[in-house]
Formats: sequence, structure tokens, C-alpha cells
Amino acid sequence: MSGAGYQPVASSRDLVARHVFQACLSGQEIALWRADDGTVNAWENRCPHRGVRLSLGVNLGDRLMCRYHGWRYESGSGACSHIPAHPEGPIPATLCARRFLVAEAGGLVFVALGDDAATMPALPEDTIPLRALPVSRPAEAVAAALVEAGLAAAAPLHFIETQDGASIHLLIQPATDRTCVVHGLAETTAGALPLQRHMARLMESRRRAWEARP
Amino acid sequence: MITLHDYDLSAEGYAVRLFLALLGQDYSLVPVEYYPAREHEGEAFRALNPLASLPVLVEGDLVLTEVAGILTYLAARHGGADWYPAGDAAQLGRIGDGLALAARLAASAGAVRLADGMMLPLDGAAARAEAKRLLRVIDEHLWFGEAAGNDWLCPGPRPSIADIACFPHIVLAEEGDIPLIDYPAIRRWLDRVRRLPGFVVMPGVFGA
Repeated sequence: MSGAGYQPVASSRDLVARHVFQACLSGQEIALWRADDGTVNAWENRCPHRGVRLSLGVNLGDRLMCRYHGWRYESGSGACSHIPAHPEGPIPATLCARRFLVAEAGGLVFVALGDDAATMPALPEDTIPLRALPVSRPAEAVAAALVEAGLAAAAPLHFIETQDGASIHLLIQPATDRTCVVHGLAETTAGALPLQRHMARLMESRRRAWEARP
Repeated sequence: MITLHDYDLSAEGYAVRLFLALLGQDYSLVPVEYYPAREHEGEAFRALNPLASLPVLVEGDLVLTEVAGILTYLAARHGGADWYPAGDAAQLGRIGDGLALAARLAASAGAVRLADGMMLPLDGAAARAEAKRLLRVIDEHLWFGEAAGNDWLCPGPRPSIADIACFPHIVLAEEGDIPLIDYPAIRRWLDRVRRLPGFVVMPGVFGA
């Protein structure tokens, strides 16, 4: 997936304290977690030891502990720092959670799966996040439906429309080859909640139409 | 003394065990082998509960056979104002809605899990589709709850028996091949339930 650049996987507000968020980007499962110092980690959702999902693990604040055998991996480096079955034993420096590039912008969390110089989508400064909507349709099908509905495309998976006088940015995260998640940002200075509710109803209605298509 | 007739892999039974633990209530457990012996369908058990379902709670002369009834009774009898807001009609209505939602989850996500684990006949696709419909609604409800500062299914500073009744079916949904990845607000709510003081686990459920 190199070359795809940064793609949205969550809202910054999704990464609450001591939580491990589960995401999927282009078929790649990701465990996303925020350390107590604010660092956001995006790791392959798989313990290097036995392959158990790290999103089942425990966010200890500065390390993530796998649920299966308690192996602990450091925020930032991803390096394994503790193996309960061998508390005194040396840990090979190569034993490390697989990390992805991750960045926060405009209230969203973006991940780049490739290790090339990834580019961020152009986003406005002051926005509020809308509730992200998972859709059981491929990203391309949802993008085509938004083009059909007359929305302006800023990029192949980035659309802009106006609702209730506010500019709305819709960014599509390809999750699997059959599903996607539509993230939303609103440029507004008015109360956030009425607009978030309006957009939730509108997007839910759109989703029903998209998913009803053959 | 409270007696609970129960099967350790029952999600409904777990809701009752969890609530008893949160209340700090002692009880005696009578194990009933649901699978493979199907002891709950035998004559002895039918004499106690003609519905032939689990769990059953007995206290004195009282026999209760549905999670909604059992949790409501325990909250009102042993939970105090924290768990039973007697004077708050709207909240009691919301809690009633939440208990009925748990029954819908039991009939969809819960039924798939049982059918998969115990080789029971079921239209799995229809049950999973219904579970997905319910989980989408619950996730949106919890997302807007978080935005308003509410951590629980019913608004307020404390969880209610609606959370306790829904939790087992949702936390065990992946055993019925219903992924929770699309419900981030639900996954955060699961963490909050796990962190309640006195929380207990069952097979397939992790602690905090």
C-alpha cells in the first residue's frame, strides 16, 4: 500500500485514556492506542509472540500488554520490554511490535501503511469531528455514490459539501475490500451537537441507500 | 438466601452473576448442565421453571426466570437508590427499554453464539444481520452519550441494570462471529463496564 499516503482511521477523541482502538485499513488490522503522555501508537494488530490481537490487550499508559502471555511493548519504539515467563532473561532488540506511521490532524488520526514520504490531506484548521460511519460497501462504491450525489471531490476519497451552512469534509477510509468507514469533519463555530445529529441522520439515510444497492 | 440455578457458559446467567458480584451479594449456585446433558429440559428442572430456560433465581418463595425480572428484583431489593431510581419514572422507563434491548441481543447475537458453540439449529445470517442492526443503533447512542458526558446506556452518573443486561451478549458477540471493530463507542463502553468495582469474568470475557 505504499503511495496511498496518510488515510483516516479514527477520530482523535476515539483514543481515550487506557483504551486500545481496533481499526482496519486496506485489509491491515491496526491496534491504535494513546499513551498517557499523548503519544499515539499505530501497530500491527498482532502480538509478535503468538499472533493474538493487541487490541485485546491492556493499555498500561506507557506500554501495551498482550492479553495472552503478558508480553509488554513500549509506547513509541514498540520494543518488547517484559516477558513474564523470563523476567530476568535478555530480550532481543529485534523483538518489536510492527509500527505504522501515524499522525493527528484536524481532529482525526491518520495512518500511512507504506514507509515512503506520506502526504497528509489538506484540511481546515478549526473543525469538529462527526460520528464516523462504517459502511458495508467498498470505498470506491461510496466515493462513486458521493460523486453521483454532486459532492465536490478534493481527492479520490475526500469530498466536501455544505450542510446547515457549514462546510463538511467527508473522508473515506478503505477498511477491507468490501467495507469502508466515512469520517466527517465540520467547519463550524455554532453548537456542535445539532450539526453532529443532523449529519448522523443524513449519513445513516445515505448508508441505507448505499447498502441496499446490489 | 439467594439461590441461582445457572450454567457457567450462559450469557444470561453471567448477567445475573455479574450483578450479584457488583452488589456484593452472597448466593448459592446450583449448576445446571445446559450442554451436552440438556439438564434444563428434564422433568426435575421443569418443575422449577416450566419455560425450561436458564438462569432461575430463588429467594424464599420467590422464583424468577427471566434476566429482566431477576435484575429488576435484585436492584430494587438489594441495590438501593444507586441501582433502582424508584422515584424517577423516565429513568425507569429507559431502564425497561434497555432490558428489552438486552432480550433482542439475546435473541440475535446470543442465539448465534449458542448455536455455533452447541450445534443448535438457527438461521445464522438473519440473526447476525439483526445483531448488526442493534449494535449500530447502540454504538450511535453511546457515541452521542459520550458527547453529552454520559458513560452509560441510560443517562446519569452511574450504570444501570440495562448496562449489566446488555454487556454479556455484546462482549461475547465475537464468539458468534460478530466482529466489534465497527463499534468503537461500544468497545469503549465495554472497557468502562470491565472497570466497575467488583467486576467478575466468565469464560471468554477478560477483566480490565
